[in-house]
Amino acid sequence: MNRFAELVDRLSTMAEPALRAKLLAHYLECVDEMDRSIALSILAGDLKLRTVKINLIRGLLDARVDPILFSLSNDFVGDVAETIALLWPTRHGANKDPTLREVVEALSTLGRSELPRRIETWLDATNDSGRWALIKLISGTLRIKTGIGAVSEMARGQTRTSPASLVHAHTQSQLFAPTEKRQRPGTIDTILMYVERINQRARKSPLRCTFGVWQDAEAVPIGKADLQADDAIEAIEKFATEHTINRFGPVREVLHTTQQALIIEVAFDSVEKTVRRTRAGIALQSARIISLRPNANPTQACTLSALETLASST
Amino acid sequence: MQAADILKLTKAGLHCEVGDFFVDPVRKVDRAVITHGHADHARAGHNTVLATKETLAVMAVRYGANFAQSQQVARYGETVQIGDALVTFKPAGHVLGSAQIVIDVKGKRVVVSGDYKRAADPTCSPFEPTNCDIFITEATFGLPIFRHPNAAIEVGRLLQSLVLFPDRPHFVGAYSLGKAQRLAALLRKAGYHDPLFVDPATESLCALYENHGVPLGEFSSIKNQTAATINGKIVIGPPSAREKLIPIDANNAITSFASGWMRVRKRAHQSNIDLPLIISDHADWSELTATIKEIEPGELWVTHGEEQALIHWATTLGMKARPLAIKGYGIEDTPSQ
Repeated sequence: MNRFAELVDRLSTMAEPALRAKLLAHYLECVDEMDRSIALSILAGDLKLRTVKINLIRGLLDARVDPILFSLSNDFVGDVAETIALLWPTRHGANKDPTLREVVEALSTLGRSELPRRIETWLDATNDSGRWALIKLISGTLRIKTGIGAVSEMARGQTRTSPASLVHAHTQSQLFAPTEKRQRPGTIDTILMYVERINQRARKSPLRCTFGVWQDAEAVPIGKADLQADDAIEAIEKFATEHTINRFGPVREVLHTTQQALIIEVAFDSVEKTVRRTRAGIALQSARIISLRPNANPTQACTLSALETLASST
Repeated sequence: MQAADILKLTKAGLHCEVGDFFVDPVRKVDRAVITHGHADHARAGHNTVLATKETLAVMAVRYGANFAQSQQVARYGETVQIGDALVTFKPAGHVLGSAQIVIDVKGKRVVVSGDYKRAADPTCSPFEPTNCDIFITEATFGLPIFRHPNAAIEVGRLLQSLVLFPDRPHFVGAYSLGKAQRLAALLRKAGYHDPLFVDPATESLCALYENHGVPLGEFSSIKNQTAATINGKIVIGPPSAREKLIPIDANNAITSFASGWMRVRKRAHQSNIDLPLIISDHADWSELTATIKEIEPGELWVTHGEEQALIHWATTLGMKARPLAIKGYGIEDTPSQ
C-alpha cells in the first residue's frame, strides 16, 4: 500500500503527463502481477469496492487523539481522511504494510464485525502516505486523475498489455494517438468554449480545455480535456488571446458563435449521462483532444441531438 | 521580581526592561539581541546588535558590513551582563549560529527559543535544553498533524527522481539561509557529489557556511548555464525565483520544494510543485511537545505559528500557557517568499 500511495501522490503533483506515465511504468515494473492489475483498475476508476464509512475509521482514531486537537487539525487540513492519516499515532514494530491484493480481498471477505480490527492493523502498518491512500480507497473517495491516455486501455486489456509497453507509450504524440481499434472510440468535432492554464507559473503551461456541441445556435459544454502538445497549445493560446470574451479567475471563456469559433476534434471512450444536472445532460468520458481544425466552419461541429442518439445507442 | 516581569511584549517585540534590550525586534531599536539570521528575526538598522559571530556574518552578507553602529559577538555558553540582566546564548539547532537567549534576573530565568528544531542537522550545533521559569517557544508547526519524516528519506526521493528523469534539471526551492545548506550537506552525505547550481544569494551564504567550517562540496553559479550543462543536475534557489533562474531552454525542469508545509496535500497542490519534499528547520509537533516536557517550564509563552493547539495541549498537562502572537515572524517555508 505504501508504494502505491507514493505513486498516487507523485501522479497528483507531477505536471507533465509524459513524466507521470514514466512514474506509472516504473511502479508497474516494481510490483507483482496481482497488485499491478489492481492498481491499474483503481487508476482507471474501474475497481468497484465495498466501501467503509469514514466515520467508522474516524471512530478508530477517537480513542487515540484529543478531540480538540483533531478538530484544529482538520480545520487546517480540510479533509477528514487526510487528517486521520496524518494524526494516526505511529507504532514501532508493526506488521509489514498490506498489499493492494490483501486489502481488496479482505474488504470482500471479512464480516462487518471483523473489519474495524483489520483496518486498525492496516493503519498501524502503513506509513503516512500509505494510510492516506488506504483511507481514501476504502472509503471510496480516492480520485486520481492520471491524465495518461493508456491507463484505461491497459486496465481493460491487461492480459495482453505488458507494463513495459507503457514505457514506450509515454511520448506525447503516442498519448494523443487514437486508442486501439478494439476500443471503438468515437471522435467528434466540438467547439472550444473555455481555456485554463493548468500551471499558472510555467511559460508554456498545459491547457485545460472545455468544449461543447451545438444546441440550436448555442454551444453547451460536454467535456474537458487537458492538452499537452506544444503546437496545439500555441494555436489555442493564440485564439484565446484574440478572442477572450469573459474571465472567471484563471478560466477564460473564448468566442463561440456560429460565425466564429475554434473547432477541435475530440476522441472519447463513451458518452454517459451526467449524474449532476448539467445543461447538456451528457458528457464524454476519457475525452482527449486529437487535432485542431482552425479552418473549419463552426457550424460543422456536432450537435447535442446527434450526440444524444449516439449515447442511447451505446 | 517575577519571571513574567523579565520580558514584556511591546510593539517592537520582546523587551527586557532591566537590561533595556529587545530580543529579535521587528522595529529599529537601540539595543537588539538576535537569535538567528533569518530576515524576520534579524533586521537592519539597530544601533547595537549582540549575536553569535555566524549570525553577525549573515547580517553583514544580507545588509552590508555597517548594518548596525556596533556589533558584539556572543559565544555559546558565555554569559554577558546587560544592565541587571545576565544573558547567555545556547545553540538552537535551527540554522548555523542560531541561538536561544537565556535571560537571568535575580534568580528568575526566561528562555527565548527563537526558531529551533531537534532533528539532526550536520550544518549547525544541536539544541540544548535549559530549565527555566518561562519558556518562550515558536510553534510554526504546532499541530499534531506535523511529523517531519527523516530528512535523509526525503533527499533520497530527490535522488530517485534524478535516476528516473536523468535528462531533466531538478530545481529545488529552498530558503537561501539554512535550508539550502542543509540540503547540500544531506546530498553529500547521501553520496551525491556533482556540483550544485545556485543563485548568487544562496552562493554567498554557502561560502559563509564553508568559512565557518561547514563543508558543503562543490557549487556552481546558475548564471550563464544552459540545458546542456544542468540537465540531470540539481539547482537550488528561492522557490519564487524559479522562472528567473532556470535557463529558457531548460524550462522543462522538474520543480521541487523543500518545506514542512509540504506534508499537507492541499498546500503541496496549491504550490504547483512536481516533487514536494518534507524538510523543515523548525520543530515538528513531536519535537515541540518533547522539548517542553523535557524543559518543564513553570510557564509557556508561544511567539508565533499554529499556537492554539500547542497551548491547548500544554493546558491539559496543567501548564500555564499563553500566546504572544508576535506579528512579523514566520516568513520562511512559504513558496511566495
